[in-house]
Order: sequence, then C-alpha cells, then structure tokens
Amino acid sequence: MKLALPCFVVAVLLALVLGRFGVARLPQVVQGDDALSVAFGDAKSTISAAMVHKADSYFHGGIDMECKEHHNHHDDHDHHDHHDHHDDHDHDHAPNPPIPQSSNPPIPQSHTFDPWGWINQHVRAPEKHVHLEGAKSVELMPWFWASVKADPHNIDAWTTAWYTANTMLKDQALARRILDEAKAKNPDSLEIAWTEARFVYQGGKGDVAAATRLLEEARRMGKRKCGGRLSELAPHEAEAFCNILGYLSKILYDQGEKDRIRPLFDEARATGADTPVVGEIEARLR
Amino acid sequence: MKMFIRQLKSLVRLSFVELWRRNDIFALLILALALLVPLSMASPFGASGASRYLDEVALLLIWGFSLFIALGTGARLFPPEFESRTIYPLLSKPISRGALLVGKYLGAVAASWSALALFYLLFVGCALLRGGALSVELVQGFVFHAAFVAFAVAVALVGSLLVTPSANLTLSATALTAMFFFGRRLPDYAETVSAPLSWLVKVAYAIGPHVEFFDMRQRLIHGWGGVDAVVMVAVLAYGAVYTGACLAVAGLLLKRKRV
Amino acid sequence: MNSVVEIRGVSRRFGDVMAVDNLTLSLGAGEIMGFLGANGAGKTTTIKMLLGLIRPTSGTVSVLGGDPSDAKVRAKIGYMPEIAYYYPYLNARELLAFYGGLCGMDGKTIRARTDELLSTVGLADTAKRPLKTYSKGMLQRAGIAQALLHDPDLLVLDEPFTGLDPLARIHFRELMHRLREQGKSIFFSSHELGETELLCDKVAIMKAGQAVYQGPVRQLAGDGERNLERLFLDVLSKGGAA
Repeated sequence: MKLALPCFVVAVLLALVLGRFGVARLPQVVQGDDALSVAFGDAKSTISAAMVHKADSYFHGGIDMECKEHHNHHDDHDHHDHHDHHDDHDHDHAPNPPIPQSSNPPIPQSHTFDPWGWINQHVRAPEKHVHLEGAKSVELMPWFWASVKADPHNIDAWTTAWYTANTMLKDQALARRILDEAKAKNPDSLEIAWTEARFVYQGGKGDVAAATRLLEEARRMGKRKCGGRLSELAPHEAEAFCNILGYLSKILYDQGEKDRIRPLFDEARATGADTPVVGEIEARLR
Repeated sequence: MKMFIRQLKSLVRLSFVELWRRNDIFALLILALALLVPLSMASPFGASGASRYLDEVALLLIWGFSLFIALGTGARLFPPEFESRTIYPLLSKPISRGALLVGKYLGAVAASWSALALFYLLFVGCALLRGGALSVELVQGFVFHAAFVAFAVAVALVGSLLVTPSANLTLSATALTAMFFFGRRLPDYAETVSAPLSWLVKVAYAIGPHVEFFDMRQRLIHGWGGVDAVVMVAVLAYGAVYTGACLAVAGLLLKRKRV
Repeated sequence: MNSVVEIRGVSRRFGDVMAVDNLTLSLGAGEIMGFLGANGAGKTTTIKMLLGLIRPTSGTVSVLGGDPSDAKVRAKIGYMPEIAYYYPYLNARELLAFYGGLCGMDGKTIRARTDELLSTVGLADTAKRPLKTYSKGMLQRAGIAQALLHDPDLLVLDEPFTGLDPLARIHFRELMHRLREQGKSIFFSSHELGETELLCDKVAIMKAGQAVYQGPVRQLAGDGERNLERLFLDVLSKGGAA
C-alpha cells in the first residue's frame, strides 16, 4: 500500500518520458494517442465504459439495471432498455449499438426470506420506474462527456451522446457539435460516418442528397479500409458497413431505383456480418 | 449521575477539539471545492442544465470524507492514549473503563457528526442556490448517513483495541467499502461458487456490516422520494444493534486490556 | 499515624515473570516516600497497583482505607506519569478543564483551581499555547498541575524530576514540602537519588520485585558517609539492607 503512490508517480513519469522520446512510433500505439493513453490505456477504456453504464442508469432514473433488487422490485413493471429508445424511428432497423447490459446468467431466486435483501429492495430501489425524457435527458450528457474524455475512441459513447442530443433533447446544434468532435477524434470510424449520414437524413425529412453523398463516402471508406476484401472487416465495422448499405438501399428504394440495390446486397453479403440489415436489403430487391 | 455527565462532556469536548484543530476537515473541504467548482462550471459538449452529476459527485465525496473522518476518529480514540502514556492519568481519575469507552465513543461520533453536518449544509446551500428545495428524503438521507457514521466509528473503535492503527484503518476501510459496494450482491456471488466458499460468502452476508442500507444517494439524486417509516425504523434498528454489539465487544476488550 | 497507603504481602506475576514479590510497605498521612530501584525492579507495577490499574496476584493494597480500583478512592489520588505527551491540540488550560471534568468538578471550581495551579507550576504565561509546542519540562509541570487539580489526599508521582531544570526542581521541592505541611501524602518513584534524599521522609529500595530496604532518610543524613547514593549502591550490590 505504501508503494502505491511511488509506483503511480513512476508510471506517470515513465509515460511522459516515453512520450517525449518517440513512443508514438511504437507499432502498438494508435495514431494520435498520447503517452498517458499508452500507460493507462486499459484503465481509461474501463472508466469510459463505466461512464456509459452510468449514463444508462441515469436514463433509467438512477436504476442500475444489473442489480438484482431493482429487477425484483420491478417485476411487474413494463421494462424498457435505453437502447430501445435509440431507435430514432427513421428506419426499420436498430440504428445504434445497444449499451452493453449484463451478460451474467439469470440468478436463481431464493424462497427463504432475506431481511437484508428486503431492506435493500426498499432503500435502494424506487417505487416507480421512470425514464429520463425530453429536456431532462441533458442529465446524461456529463457522463457521455466524461466517457469520451476518458477514451475518445469509445464509439458507443459518441453515438449515444449524439442520439441523446438529436432525438431526446432535439438539440441539433448540440448533436452537430458532438458529431464534429467525434469525427475529429475518429476520422476513420465507419460508425461515426454512418451516424453523420443519419443525422443529415433525419428520417427522410433532412437533406437526402447530402445524406446519400455521405453514405457513399462512408461506403468507399469501408472498402478502402479492407482493401476491397469486405470479409476482412472487423465485426463491428462489418455491421456498420451493412448499416450504411442498408440506408443507401432505403434511399434508392424510396427513389424507385431498385436495380441499383443489387450491388449493395452483394457487398453486404460479402462482409459475412450477422445482422438483419442484410435481409432487409434483400427484401428491397423484390 | 452528575459526575457521569461531566465526565462524558469532558470526553466529548476533547474529541471535538482534536478533530477541528487537526485541520483534516478543512483540507477535505478544500479538496471538495477544488473538485466541485471546476465540475460545476463544466458544460459538457456545450450543453447546459445538467445538475444531477454534481449531486452525485458531491454526495460521493461526502460519503468518502465522512468514512475517512469516522474511521480516523474512531481509530484514534485509544492507541494514542497508550502511545503517549496519557492512558495512565486518564484511568487514575475516578472514571470507570466503561464510562471512558462510552464518553470517547460519543465524542468521536459527535465530532464526526459535526463535520457531516457541515458537509450537508454546504451541499444543501449549493442545491438551494441552483433552485433546489429541502425535502423529506434529504432529511432521511442525513439521518441514515449520521447512523452510518456512528456505525463506522464503532467498527473502528473495536479495531483500535485489536490491531495497530494502520492495520485497523486499512481493514475497517476495506471491509466497510467492500460491503458498501458489494454487500448486497453477496447472495448472487454465493450462488456462483461452490462450497465451502459459498458458505463463507453466506456467513459474510449474514453477519457482515451492511453499510449499504444507509446509502440514500440514488434517492436524493434522482428524486425517488423518501423511504417508508417501517424501512427507516428497520435500518436504524439494524444500525443501533450492530453498533451496540461493537461497543459491547470494545468494552470487553478494553476491560481485559493490560495497561 | 493512620496509613494512607498500606501494601501487605503483595505479589504480581506476569506469566513467568514475578514483577513484584511479597511486598509490604506503608505510608502515613503527611509523609513523603521515595520509591527507588533499578529499571525493571517493580516500581511501575507497584504504582499501577496503587492506582487500581492492575490487581495484585496475591496480597492486599489499601489506599486511604479503600480499594484503589474503586472510583471513589481514586477521586482522592493524584497521579503524574513519567513524561506523558498530553493531548497536543489542547492548551494547558483546556487540559486541566478536561481532567477536572473527568474528576467530576464543576466549571467554576475548575477555573479557579486552574488559575491557581498554572501560576503555581509556572505555566500561567503559556497557558493558551498548544501543548504540542511545550518542552519536556513544561509538559512535566502540566502533569504536576493535573495531578493536583482535584486537591487529592495522596499524590503518586512517577519520575517527577524528569525534564525539570534546576530552578524548576527547587520550586517542585518547595511545592511538595508545602503539600506535606497541608497533610498530603506523597509517594514517588525516582532515579534521582540526590533529589530524593532532599525531599523524602523515607525510602524503599526495590530489587527484582522485592523491597530490599525500607527506612527513614533522616537516619542516613548527617553521618557524612552513609548518604543515599552509597546506601543504594550497597543495597543493590549485596541484595540486602545495609
């Protein structure tokens, strides 16, 4: 315990010295990362994920959805997940990656009376499950902000922050600022590129031509990233690429240009991504 | 009885003076301000109007600081008396060891409560400035928090008569913090491990100090409202019984302690 | 003469170690007794039994006619430990107020006694300074004041000369003599043989838990040779009374 502080100081000094003498040239360093990111990389991404988790609990009115007592207390409640609200109703498939939920198996419920559990259920869970909506959603923003400060490459945080600003707060200027910053920090992210196109498209009420241009640009970026070998895209990129193709197919479908959808379907299939979007594109071929 | 009251008053005053002259509280206040002032001026992505995160951070700091003060004050009740040899003039006065223990405990609790009250006053002041209002749940939250402080002092007091001050602080802080964050999840954990570890986890759940009962932060931050009177009585009774048990153990230890 | 302290056949064992072995001694009202011996001779254990802090394994300890573990008896005992580092955040006035409260004294009496004692021990000018700024000698004087605060009938002092400068020692001796004149009994342990000889009516010399010499100091003084220092050395080297 006595060594913790000296170790921390040495780690910081080491990180700063390494940063000064060319740590950025090391192969494992992502371009644009500073020395502190190298030293505390894992910790920063863990903190970033925790901040998004916090935002999720804020959305649920302060309920941590991983906690047993909350589930017990709200067995009779119509349960909504935050990512249900991510559906911006501008399209027929889920637009955003869901906020990660617990992957733990369901816990068997004991039938014996647990007085400590009873107290916890009544102190640490609300009587009513309320979601943050409308202007109150601004309460989520500090946690997204903290999340992307801790890890600027946390795409979930950027896109969920954008969603909150665009759809829940209906503050498009704020949504634009978030997107611009996200793009600056992640210029080669297919998810961000797709999100920008959605923002411009605004469920078909926005600038469709500009959205198409952005989607085509994102499509080219996706192909460029894998050298045209779409099956080699990372799973999350493949999914984002399919979403881009899905939006393009929707626009073409709406414009009556069904014959231009076939190459999109072929590319979507080539990614090998396991997403319903591929089926949706196929449906538009018919 | 008059003598007993005078003895208690003396011991309580001693703890008060020591805590406030030690300057720990002022250092903690400065630390809190250094964290909260920049946070309150932050405008995430240029959005304004968010305030719950400030309540969250402020309450987390208050909980952390109150634990630090309670454990520090509780752990310092007896070891310095032995180290500086003041235990001898103390016990040579017409005071029983039981009265000494009660007086010292009450002094540490009262001193820690005074610090807690200051922290809550500042918290409420800031909330009022932001347009908030006093609420029943805030009063309940303070009462629960005060009960937690009394509880933590008792735990540290027992530890101070068993192990060295540094070991006591480390063990007490670890046990209370672990129970605070993970205590309610122990039954879930017990289901995922096999015996005999699962039995140990169940025993820890049954007899461990459930300090998480006193945590009303989420209710305050998200406006869930207060808890029912029955629940409040149950939590306070739990705290009183556990604290009483700790004091009884401390009394036995002090009685048997060789001076 | 009534005995203020009556120790009869007292032994105290700590595990295999016999710290005090069949000790018998008494101290009358208005007497000053010096309790001498090398380190580990059993002086501190005896003092702790006198204060009721520990019980004897066998034998009886009576102080002012009662059991010192009884709070009512301890209310008549004033004790000064060998250099205690009193509460560093208090000042001398607050220290005395604290101990006065423990003795059950009311605020008015405490204030009056505090003023009197602080000037007696020479701390009146520094009474508002935190004790952490005090020197060893000043702490010792604060210790004397706290021991006298509740006007006890018996004073038990552990190494009272430690840290006192020559002038303070003279003042201390004068104070002890004044207290004796008031009928107070004083029992103190010390390694300072010269001071003990000047102050005491009688001495007890301890060796390995046993009192190897008990007697009045006046018999020693005046013969030119048998001063306390020589007696002490003789007794400890032979293991018996000279």
